[in-house]
Amino acid sequence: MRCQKSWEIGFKLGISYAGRGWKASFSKFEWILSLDAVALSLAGIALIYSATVPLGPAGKSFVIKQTAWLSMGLILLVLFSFLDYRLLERWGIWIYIIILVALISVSVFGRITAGSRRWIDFGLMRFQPSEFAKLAVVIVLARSLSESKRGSIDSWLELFKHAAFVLIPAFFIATQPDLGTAIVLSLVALTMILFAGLSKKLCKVILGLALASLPILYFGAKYLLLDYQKKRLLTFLNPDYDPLGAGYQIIQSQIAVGSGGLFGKGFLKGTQNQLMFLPVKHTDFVFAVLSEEWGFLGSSIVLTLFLIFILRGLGIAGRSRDDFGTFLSVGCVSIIFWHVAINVSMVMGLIPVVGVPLNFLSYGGSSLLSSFMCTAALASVSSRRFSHLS
Amino acid sequence: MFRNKPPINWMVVRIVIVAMVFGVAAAILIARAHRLHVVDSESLKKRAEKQRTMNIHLEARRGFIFDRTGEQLAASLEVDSVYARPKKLSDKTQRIKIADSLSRILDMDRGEILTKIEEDKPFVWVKRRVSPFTAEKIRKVNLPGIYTDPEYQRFYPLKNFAAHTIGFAGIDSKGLEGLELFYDNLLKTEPLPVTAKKDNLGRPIIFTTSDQITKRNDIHITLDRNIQFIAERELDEAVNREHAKSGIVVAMDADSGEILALAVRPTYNLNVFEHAATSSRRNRAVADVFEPGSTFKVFLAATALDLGKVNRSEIFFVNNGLYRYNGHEIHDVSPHKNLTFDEVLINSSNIGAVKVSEKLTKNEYYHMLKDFGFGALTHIDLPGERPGVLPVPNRWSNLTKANMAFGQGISVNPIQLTVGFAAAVNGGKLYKPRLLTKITNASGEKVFENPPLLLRRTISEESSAALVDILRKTVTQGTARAAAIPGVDIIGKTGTAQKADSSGGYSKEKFLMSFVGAIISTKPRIVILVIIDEPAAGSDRTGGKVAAPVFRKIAEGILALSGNAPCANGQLVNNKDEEQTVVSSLVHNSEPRAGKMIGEWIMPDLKGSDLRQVVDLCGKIKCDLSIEGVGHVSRQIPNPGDLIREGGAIKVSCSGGVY
Repeated sequence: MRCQKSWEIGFKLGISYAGRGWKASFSKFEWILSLDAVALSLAGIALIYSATVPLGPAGKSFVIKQTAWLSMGLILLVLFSFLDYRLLERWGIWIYIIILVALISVSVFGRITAGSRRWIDFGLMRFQPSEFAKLAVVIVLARSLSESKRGSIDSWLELFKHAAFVLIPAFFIATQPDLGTAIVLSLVALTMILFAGLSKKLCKVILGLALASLPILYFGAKYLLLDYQKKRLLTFLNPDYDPLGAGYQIIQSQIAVGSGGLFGKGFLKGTQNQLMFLPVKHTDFVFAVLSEEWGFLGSSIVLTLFLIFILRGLGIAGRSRDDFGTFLSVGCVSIIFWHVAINVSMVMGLIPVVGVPLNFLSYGGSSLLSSFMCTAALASVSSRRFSHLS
Repeated sequence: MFRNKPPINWMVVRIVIVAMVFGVAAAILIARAHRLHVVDSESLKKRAEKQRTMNIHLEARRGFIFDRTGEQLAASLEVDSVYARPKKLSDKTQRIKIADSLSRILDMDRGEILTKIEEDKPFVWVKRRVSPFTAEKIRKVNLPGIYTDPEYQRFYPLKNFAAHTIGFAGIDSKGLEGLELFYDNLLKTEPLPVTAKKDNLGRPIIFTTSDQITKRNDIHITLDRNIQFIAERELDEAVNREHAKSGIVVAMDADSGEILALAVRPTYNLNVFEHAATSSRRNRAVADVFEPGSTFKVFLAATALDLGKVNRSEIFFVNNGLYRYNGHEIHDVSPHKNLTFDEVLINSSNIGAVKVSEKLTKNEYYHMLKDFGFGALTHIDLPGERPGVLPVPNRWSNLTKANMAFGQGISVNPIQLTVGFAAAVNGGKLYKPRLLTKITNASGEKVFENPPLLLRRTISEESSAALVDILRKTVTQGTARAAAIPGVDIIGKTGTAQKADSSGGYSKEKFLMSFVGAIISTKPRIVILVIIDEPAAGSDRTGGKVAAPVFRKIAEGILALSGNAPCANGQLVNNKDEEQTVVSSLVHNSEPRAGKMIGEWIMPDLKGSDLRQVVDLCGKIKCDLSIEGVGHVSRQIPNPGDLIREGGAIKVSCSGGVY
C-alpha cells in the first residue's frame, strides 16, 4: 500500500465503505455518540437563546449562527464518519502544518478580540485555528505514538519528539494569548503520552523535575504571567477580595449555579442571566445559565450526557482495530473531557477562570465544528472496528 | 508502567484506568454541582436576590396642591441629583481625578467629594438638586461611577402667596408646615419597594411607573386664588400703612365653611422657607389666640336674642359712659344715656353689653358660646391650631360674665371667630371650617370628596336674621361705617381690644384692631375677618378706622371679581356654578429647546399657555418668573425664539382669567 499515492488509497478506502450498502452503513453508524452530541448541541442552542435574550434583537443572530454551525457540524459528522479515519494517519501531518501556518498567521495579522489575537477573518466567518489545533495535535500525536515501539516510551529523545508536536502549537496559542486552550492542548497531549506509557526511569526523573520546578513555577507565575492572568489566579484564592473586579466572574457564576437550586428557576427566568450579572454567558459561562435556569437536575443531565460521550468514546478506543485508532479516540475523548472538566470546574468555582468553551454548548463556530470533528473521528473509528475481521 | 503485558490486555487496562479517572472527575463535578445547587443554594439565592434588587432612591412625585380654580399652589418638578457608586471606583488615582472634575463642575470642596466617593457603600449622593445646566455638564464629562438621576423638587409657583396655608415640604419631600404637613400622608408618595430589579450595570430594569401615577394624590383646596390675592394685597397695604406687628385676613364661605382666603403677615417665600424667621412662618390664623374685644358682642347679642331675654327695642340705661360694676369701672368711648338693644351694638357700648349680660345666666351664656365653638378646636385642616380659653362657669369671678360681654377674659383664634360669626349670621348653622375639597389621583380622577360638614345649629333663623339686621345698621350708621359699600348689603362689627400686658393688666398702647363682617348680597355669603395687631399709631386708632376699611377694600375686590356692579339686592353668581371661559383651548408646545451653548434655551411661544405650563417651563430652565394678571398668557418677555440664559428673567402677562 505504501507505494500507492495517498489520494488513491484515500479514494479507495472511502469508496470501499460506501460500497457496502446503506443498510450496513446505517447499522454501523455510531448512533449513541452522534445523538449524544446532537442532544448537547440542541441544549446549547436553547441556552444561547436564553443567554442572549437580554441583548435584545441583536441576540437573535447568535442563535441563528449557532444553528447554522450545528447543521454544518452534522454534515461534517456524517461525511467524516463515512470516510476512513486512516486517511488522517496519512494526511495528518499536512493538516498539522496547515494549522501551524494558520496559528502563526493569526499571531501576525489576526483579529484582536477582547485583548487577544485568536481569529482569522474570512470575511463571512471568522475562524479560530486554535480550536482545530487540538484536533491536529491529537492526529499527529496518535500517529507518532502508534508508530513507536509498542509498550511504553523509554527514551528522552522519543519523549521530546512527541512533546515537540504539542509544544510548538501550544507556544503560539499561549502567546495569542489564549492560556486556556494552551492548557487544554497540553493536558490532552499529556493524557495521550501517559496513555502510551512511560518507562519507570522516565517517570522518576519527570517526577523529580516537577517537584524541583515548583519554586521556579512560582516565580515564573509571579513575573511572567500577564496581569490579567495573575489577577485571575489571585482572585480565585479569594474571590470576595475584589467582588466587582477580577473576582466578579467567579462570584457571579457561583451565585447563578447555586441560586438555581434543585430544579432551577425555569427557562428564561434566571435572574443572574437575564439581568446580565453573568459574564460571557453565551460562551464560556453557558453552563452557569444552564445551572441557574435548570438547576441541579439540568446540570446533572448535561454532565451525564458528557460522561456517556466520554465512556462511549473510550469504548470505541478499546475496540479500535489498530493502535492509531485507539490513540486517536483517546485523544478526541480527552479533548472533550478536559474542556468539560476545566469549564465546569471554572463555572463552579473549583479552579481559576480560564477562558475555555464548553464543547457543544458554548456559542462559537470553531468550537462546535471541532467538537463535531472529534465526534466524527470517533464515529469513523467505531464503524471500522471489525472491518479487519471481515 | 504496563510493560510486558499482552497487547490486547494493556490497551484495555489503560482505557479502563482512563475511564476511571474521567469518571472520578465527573463524580467530583457532580458533587460540586450538588453542593452549590443544594447545600449552598439558600445563601447563594439570597446573594443573587440582594445584588439584583436595589433600594431605589428615586423618590416618587409628591402630590400637587391646587386651589379651587385649578391653579397650582404647590408642585413637584423634576430636577437632577448627582450620585456616585463608590464600589465601582476602586482605584485611588481615579477617585482623585473624579473628585477634581466634580469639584469644578459642582463648585464643591474636593475633599468633601472625595470622602463621599470613598465610602464603602454602593450608593451615595454627591449633590442633590442641581440645575439642569450642571446635570448636563456631569453627563457630558461622563465620569465613571458618577451618575445623575431625576428627583423631584417641591416648588411653590406663587412664592409667598397663601404661604401659611400651603406650608412647605423639606428636601426629602416631608411636609413640615401648613397643608403640606397636615396632609403629608396623602401628598407623599411612598417610594416603591424592592420590586425594582437592577441589571449588572446597576440600571433598574423593572419600572412600576404606572403604579406610581395612580398612587399620587393631588389635593384641591377651597382657597380661591383671586380672593386670596385681594386679601393678601389689602392686608399688605394695611400692615405697612399702620406699621403693625402682624395682620390676619380670613375669608370664608358662610354657607359651607370653605376657607376662601387666609392671609397672614408677616409672611415668607415658601421656596426659600429655610431663610424665613419662625415668627414669619407662624400661622397666626390658627396658632394665635387673643381677646376678641367688641366683635364678641355679636355673640352676646345672639345669645340674648335667641333666648328671648331681650327685645330689640328694649331700652338700656347706659349710665352716661361710666358704670360701676362689682367694684370695677366700665367705660364707654362715646357716652350715652339710653340705648335700645340695637343701638348697644350699633354704638358698641360696653356698658350696654354688660347690662344685656346681666339678663343672662352664667350657664346660658357659657353654653351658647360653647355652641358657637369657642374654647374648642375648630378642627380646621391646618396644623398647630390652639383652642383659646373659654373658662367654665364655676371658675367665673363676679366680673367674668361682664368682661366676656365685650370680649375680655376669653381668648379665641381667628378661625373660631370667623366660624362663630358665620354661624351667627347665616341662620344659625355652624359649619366645620375646611380647606380640602377633594383629592384626585394623577390622572385627575376624583378619589375622595370632602363635602361641607354641618356641625350643629346654634341660634334660630329668626334670631340670626335679627342679628343680621342689627349688624347691617352697625355698618350703615354705627361704628363700622368705614366698611360700608354703597348699594351692597354689608354687615359687620368692629373690635378694638386692649392687649393684655405682662403686668397682668391691659396695655395702654398695644391694641388689636379687628373687624368681622360679611357680604350678605352674594351667594354664597362671604364672611371676612380682618385683624391688625398692634398698629404703631396707638390709641387714637380703632377697629372701625383701621380694620373696617381693609374689609371694605377686600369686599369691593371680591364684588369686582364677579363682574357684577354692586347693587342693593344683587346676587353674585358663584363661580362654581358657571363654566369657565377658556381663552385658548389649543395645546401649545411650551417645551424649551436647548440653545447652542449649555445653559442657553430658546424661548418657546407661551401665548395661550396656562400658568401651569409656564411654571413647568421655568422649573426646567430655572428662570426667574414674574406673572401679571390672571388667566392665560397674552404677552411674554423674552419673545418667542429669543435666547434665554439659565436663571434669566421671564415676564408674562396674563389675561382672560375669570372668577
